[in-house]
Amino acid sequence: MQTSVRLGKLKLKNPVTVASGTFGYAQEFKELVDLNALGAIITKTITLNPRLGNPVPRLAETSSGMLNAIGLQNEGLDNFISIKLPLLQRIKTKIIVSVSANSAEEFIHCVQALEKVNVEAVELNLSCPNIKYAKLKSSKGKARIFAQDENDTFSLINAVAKKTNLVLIAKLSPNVTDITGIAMAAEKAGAHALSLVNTFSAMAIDINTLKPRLANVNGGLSGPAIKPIAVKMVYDVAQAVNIPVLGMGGIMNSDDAVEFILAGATAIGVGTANFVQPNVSMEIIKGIEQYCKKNNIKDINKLIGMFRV
Amino acid sequence: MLYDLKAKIEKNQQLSASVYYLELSMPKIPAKLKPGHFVHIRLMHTNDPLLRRPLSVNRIVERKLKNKIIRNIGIVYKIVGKGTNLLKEMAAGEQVDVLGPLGNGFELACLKPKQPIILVSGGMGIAPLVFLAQTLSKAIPEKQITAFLGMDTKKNLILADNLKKLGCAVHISTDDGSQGFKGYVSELLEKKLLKLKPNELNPYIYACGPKPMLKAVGMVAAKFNLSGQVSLDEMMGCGIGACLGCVIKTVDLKKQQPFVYKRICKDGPVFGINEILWEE
Repeated sequence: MQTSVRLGKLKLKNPVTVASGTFGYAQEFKELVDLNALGAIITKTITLNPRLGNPVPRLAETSSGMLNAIGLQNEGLDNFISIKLPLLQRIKTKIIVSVSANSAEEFIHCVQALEKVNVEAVELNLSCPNIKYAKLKSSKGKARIFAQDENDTFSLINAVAKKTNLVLIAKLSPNVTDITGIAMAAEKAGAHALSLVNTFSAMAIDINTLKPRLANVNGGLSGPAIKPIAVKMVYDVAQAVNIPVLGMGGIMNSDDAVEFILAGATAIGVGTANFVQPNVSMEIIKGIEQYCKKNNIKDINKLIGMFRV
Repeated sequence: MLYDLKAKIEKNQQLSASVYYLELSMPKIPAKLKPGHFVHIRLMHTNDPLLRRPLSVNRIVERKLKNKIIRNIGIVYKIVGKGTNLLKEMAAGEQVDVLGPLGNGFELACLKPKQPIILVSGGMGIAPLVFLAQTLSKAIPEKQITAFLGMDTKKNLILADNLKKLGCAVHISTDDGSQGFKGYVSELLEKKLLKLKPNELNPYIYACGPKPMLKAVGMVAAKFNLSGQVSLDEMMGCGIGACLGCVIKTVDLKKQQPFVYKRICKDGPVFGINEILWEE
């Protein structure tokens, strides 16, 4: 069976990736998961300078979901390149480095530094709901999540695309009125693929202490609770653009993964499920193959967007 | 080595109004456990609750099965929310998913010969200290162990007898004075430490409980210049150091930053008694 898919010129051996922030830098999972079997590993987001992240509590569980407000805690670009990346590059899979930055210049700096050390692809995290955003020249109104603004999305991606040959995947926010407009802006700017969705901006209150359950007050909702909304966004975006979609949002098993592919995702990201069942990505790889065999599908690419209304 | 396995429930018994004893049998994990380790338990067949529950190992139970000794894991858990409420309804023979062993565990190598040991618990913090006492009493039978157990009220007191059976001298404090000393366990500890003779070898402290209690124990330890370790309880995501959800502020040993976040699940749950920067 043919299981490989393409995100731009990045060829994945299968469509199953692990979503940024849910798989650390992969070493955390090495005793539980055959890392070489993954289609790709998307790293925890890195930033130019180290970030301490948000105060605790950073996690709260909600019905069939969880809220997080980690706040992009990471050790910074240089430490990532010297310590984490060499270990990642020994794994026989594609490594997609997730990057967040405050400006086009900072994005370009990080991406070019990663290009020098043989990274093939980056995911531009334009959509973390748990950090403060800078106001860009391109943006109208007040500072907000980059991927909430078509102009910001376009200007950031376009600036990076002009300065690198890496595969650029733009991670989009679901916290928008119409995600297809943002998706088209990202495509026009030169993104090779779109990754969606990031977490939904959300909150929970402890009714006994009268306090928010996250120190950051609001956080990002993930898990099976968001899946149907994510499926629709993937479907809408896949209809609107001609670049591949990396779909994610509450995938817990291979049925969920197939649902995203049918909706139009070329590849899928396993996220919160990695916390629940660390080796779930292995089961999903097998489950997708079994689904294809059962339905006599010889090439996984035939399954993409096969959903009919 | 880390395992994610299905475990069979052997026992799930009520110990007090809101506390249960769970005994699990599974391959591989029990042999690798040391005191202070925890396991991350998932209730299968449901997405609600979604996340696993981190539970400390209370004891290793050796049982004879067809002339073979098998080792089970004993866990003592408190009913807190949705997950533990579902867990308490599960019967012997049913299965849960167990990820473990997790965490760093208590360090024992730092103990000096003949150094007396003090265990301090607040509430459910007693659970992992039983495994510690079990291990210490086996490894060093002549060890002098004194346990200070804090609880809200007498009827909720659990596991004190287990510690006595393991040879520990047990002192109890309750918030309402219904048993033992009335007040905080840190106050009881301080009272007893005042009676230390100057020529005695300083005791070593192992403590587990809620953060305010550990903070208070840390202050007592500092006052008497005692070393020790504390084990923290925290809500967790992955349990294996990936999600950075369960961090705590610790002293930056390189002295470059005001603090360093460490992961309770991976770098802990056991930390040096002076390592944590307690929040107000």
